[in-house]
Amino acid sequence: MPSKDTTTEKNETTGNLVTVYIMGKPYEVPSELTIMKAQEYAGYRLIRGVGCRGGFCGACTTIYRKREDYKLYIDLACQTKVEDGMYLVQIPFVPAEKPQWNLEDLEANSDSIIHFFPEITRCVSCNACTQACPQNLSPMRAIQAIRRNDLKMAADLSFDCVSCGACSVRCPAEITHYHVFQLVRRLVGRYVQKRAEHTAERVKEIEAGEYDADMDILVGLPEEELKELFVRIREGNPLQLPEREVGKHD
Amino acid sequence: MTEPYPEYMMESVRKVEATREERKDKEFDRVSDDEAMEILKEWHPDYRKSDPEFFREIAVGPSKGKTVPTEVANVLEAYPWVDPKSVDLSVIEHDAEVFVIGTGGAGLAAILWANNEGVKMEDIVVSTKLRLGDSNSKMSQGGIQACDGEDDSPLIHWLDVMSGGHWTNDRTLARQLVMNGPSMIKWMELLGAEFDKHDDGGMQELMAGGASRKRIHSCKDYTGLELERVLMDEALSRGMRVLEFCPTVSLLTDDSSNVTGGLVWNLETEEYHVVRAKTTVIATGGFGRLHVAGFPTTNHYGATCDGVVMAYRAGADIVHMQSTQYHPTGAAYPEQIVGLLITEKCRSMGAQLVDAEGEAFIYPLETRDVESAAELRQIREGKGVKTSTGQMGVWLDTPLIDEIRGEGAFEEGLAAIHRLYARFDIDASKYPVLVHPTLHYQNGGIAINADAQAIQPNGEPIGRLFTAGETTGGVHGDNRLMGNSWLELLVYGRRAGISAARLASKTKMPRKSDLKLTHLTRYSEELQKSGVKTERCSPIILPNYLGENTMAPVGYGKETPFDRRLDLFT
Amino acid sequence: MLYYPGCSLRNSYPEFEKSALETCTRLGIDLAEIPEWNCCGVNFSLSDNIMRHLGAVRTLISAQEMPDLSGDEKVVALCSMCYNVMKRVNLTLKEDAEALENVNLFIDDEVDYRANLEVIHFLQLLRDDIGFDHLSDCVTVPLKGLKIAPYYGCALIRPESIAIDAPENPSIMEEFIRSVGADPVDYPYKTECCGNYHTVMRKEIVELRSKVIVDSAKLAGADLVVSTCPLCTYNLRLGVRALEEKTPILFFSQILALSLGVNPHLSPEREKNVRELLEGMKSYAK
Repeated sequence: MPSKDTTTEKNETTGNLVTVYIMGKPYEVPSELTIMKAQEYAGYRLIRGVGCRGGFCGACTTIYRKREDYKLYIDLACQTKVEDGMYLVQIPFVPAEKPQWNLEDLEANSDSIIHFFPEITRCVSCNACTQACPQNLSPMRAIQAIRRNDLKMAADLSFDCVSCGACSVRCPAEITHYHVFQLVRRLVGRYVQKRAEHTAERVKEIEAGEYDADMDILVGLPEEELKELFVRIREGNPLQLPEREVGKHD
Repeated sequence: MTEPYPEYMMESVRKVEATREERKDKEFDRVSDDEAMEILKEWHPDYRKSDPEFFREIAVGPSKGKTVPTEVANVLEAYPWVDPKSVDLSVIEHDAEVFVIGTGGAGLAAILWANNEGVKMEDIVVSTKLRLGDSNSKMSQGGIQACDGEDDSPLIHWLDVMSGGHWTNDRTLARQLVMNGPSMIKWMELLGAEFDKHDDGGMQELMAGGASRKRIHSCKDYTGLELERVLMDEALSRGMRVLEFCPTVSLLTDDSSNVTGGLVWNLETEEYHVVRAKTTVIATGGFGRLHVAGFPTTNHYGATCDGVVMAYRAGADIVHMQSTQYHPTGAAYPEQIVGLLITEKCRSMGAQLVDAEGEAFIYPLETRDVESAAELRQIREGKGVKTSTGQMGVWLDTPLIDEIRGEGAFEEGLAAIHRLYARFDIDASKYPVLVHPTLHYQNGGIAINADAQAIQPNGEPIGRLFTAGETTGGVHGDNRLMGNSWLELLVYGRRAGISAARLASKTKMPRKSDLKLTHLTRYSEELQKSGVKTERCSPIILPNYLGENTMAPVGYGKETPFDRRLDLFT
Repeated sequence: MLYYPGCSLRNSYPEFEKSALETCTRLGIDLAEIPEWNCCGVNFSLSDNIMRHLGAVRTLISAQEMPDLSGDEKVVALCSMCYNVMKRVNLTLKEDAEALENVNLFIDDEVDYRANLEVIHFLQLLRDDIGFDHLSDCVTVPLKGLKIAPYYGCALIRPESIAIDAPENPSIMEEFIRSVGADPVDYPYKTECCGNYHTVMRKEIVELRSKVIVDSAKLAGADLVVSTCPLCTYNLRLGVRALEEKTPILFFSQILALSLGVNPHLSPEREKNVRELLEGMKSYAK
């Protein structure tokens, strides 16, 4: 019987060590590591600046410079490999208040957005936000789409935003893009996209109790009968309950 | 073009390339049921019930004698790291009508529905381990099931759920799940979630593995992110009070074993906060970061089984905990994305699983458990590829997709995966990618009833304790279908919020003298008597990846995964 | 002809844009909207710092890169503030090679701007490309007897370098009014400032100035006032809330639309008053 400890030897590295400066202090870490894992390798237990570790949550925004390179880079620590001579720091939090709104009181237009975020009118289109975005989105284009009252385009352009806040740190107009985009997307989802009629219809049927009697029968059937029913519906057949009155929804 | 892998891996890639032409049109024999069972029994972690490295019976607590994965037993057969004697419970910092632990989808749904039920937002106290919204919910990609299609019905969805769970599900819970599907979709729609729709507003729906109707609703590749952030925004807009970086480390109980609140540990100031509550909702999510059976995981950093540990000590039963969902194709290279999901669609489109020697060792579209087991077999037999960080894997031969379907088919059909690898200069349409089974979902958990109350082994609810989401068990039985996790956390998060709110409206605020940790003391005594010799403490809050552990492909070392974990408080 | 709409009329005054576009269709003017145009940068309109005007530059680059251009196209703006900002930015880039180089170096995610576009206002298009005489010929419903006060404000005529007409005593709007068959009203405040962005923080300033402007037009016998700017219009309407019933303030494009017999997109609260005015005129009585 195999056991889990034999599938591989633990913890060998064939890679080189590189020097990274974590908040200025040099550490030697294996070159294969991500910035996040390099910090852990160096002994930092992360609480801030860490989240899903898979590029989805935007918690691990990291700022760094490379050797002999003046440029300031912003990336997600869990998605970026260390490089020799890298100076880095994690951003624990991006300071910004999220205004409170009630979607039901708003209309889907740029005035609604500007009401909460008048600063978006200060955008000078410098595009620093785009250069900062670890997701390769263009917050500037989305902000300008709002100015054109094209909320759908702004929602589409910002859909993959993980709210890391990198753009907001760099913005000279002091826009908090991720809060702006959240409002835009909700307005589009609520008012621009059409409603799913078939979903509402099914909700009505269920609430009217149209499935209750059949459900009572179904959940009481023995497992063998259920398996037979499943094989039949799996082939695309409509569901036929055994020995019952004909239901309304067949 | 430079080669995307280091030379020691390229050697193996060239073997894969050498056999590709021959494999391209190969007809694979599907394994028979008997053969499948043989592979599973030999290689799948879930089938090692008698192997103490993988499973053991819990020696203590309400579900004593039940078989659970070793890693789960480790956190249950552990001392509470809260020392009841050292905590001053007389200083109450927060009073709550409803106290919600966790801010994934289930927690947020509970908060919003408790509020809809009349509880003021300022009377709802929320604790969360890391940031607001940090959760597996946010990482979900695929979608959410709901039976709103023309050829669909709650009955058909129910049969799918039951079949997926190998008919082991709690029938009543599964019924409630499917009956509330369409209304939850409608709710999210009205909250402004952007579903993938046709121009007329109709939902674009896809088929989930194991389902018989198309009922997956999605929001591009970011379904969980979209739904979670909409819930977060709505809760914040209503004025939610949330204690961030404040995991709850123990429930509080009174002399009648009712839950009267929770003890919160502030990770940043390193002090306790006492939350007194009329009702409590546990929505802490799954256990991926226990690295059950030594697997890498798709889960969030904070997914460490805390809710199960806390509820168990307060008397809750645990069910279906012996079953864990592994996905056969998690990324194994590069290091940055180890454990991330590589969608099954790759294999649907023609990619094959190939070992280090270039041999295709399994029909690519067996069930997930069989595929995973077969990969582990090849690795165990020395036909795996080892990366420089020690991570093992086998090849998913993705270039076959363009070979079979024509140039560009990969990039068009699997744009997200293509982008994922392109980030690391790997063109997955030209080179195979390294994969390994990855731990995806906690199928079982705290036993609940239809009102989302946590229940004891005798079926009686624990007073004033509610729970929802991945931390619970029963709805999915032994196996969950794609798209039913988000449905479950909405339906039961809502149910928990409503139930808690209703109970709170007719319950008095516990007295100071009702806030106790005596259940922990009792648990420690039982553990001592059980003969288990351990210094382990739990909940573990965060996994330990410090120092050399960062390098370790978790679970492949000699030690058990638990040993690698930092015990924060010892 | 490349078309720059601008934010204000897209968001707040759709009647301005819609009526103008309908007249273009009638007059056979082919306007191609610049893709993904940016805000002109009106908030920083008084800044000489070209780095505050990257939005306008990006819009000009977007225009320059539109397909099938001959290379010396005109960009036409409806809103006089947009015109003012875009024209000044463009002029700076045409005249100051260093500024152009700096901006092109800074905007490293786009192609260089070659500074060969022209920015004009819609009135210039009517005067110089269509010709007011020709426009007159196209009018199907001359607004005979209607007394219209032109309001220039600042943006069309100040500073002198970008003015579309003589800054001290412009006449382009009067000529336009005559070409649609109406009578221009002369009054002393036609080029006074409405108060502009004081409307945000110091509304009383705007109310005072606007009242003076509209009163003056009314005393001179105006039936209505036409404007070329969404902000001016907003401000004038603010100052004359009580008077407005009798003295509607419309966009010049709406007057043009009326004279061409196309939809002027009058907003419901103004529709009645304007119709009453028109019905008083022989030409409009069908």
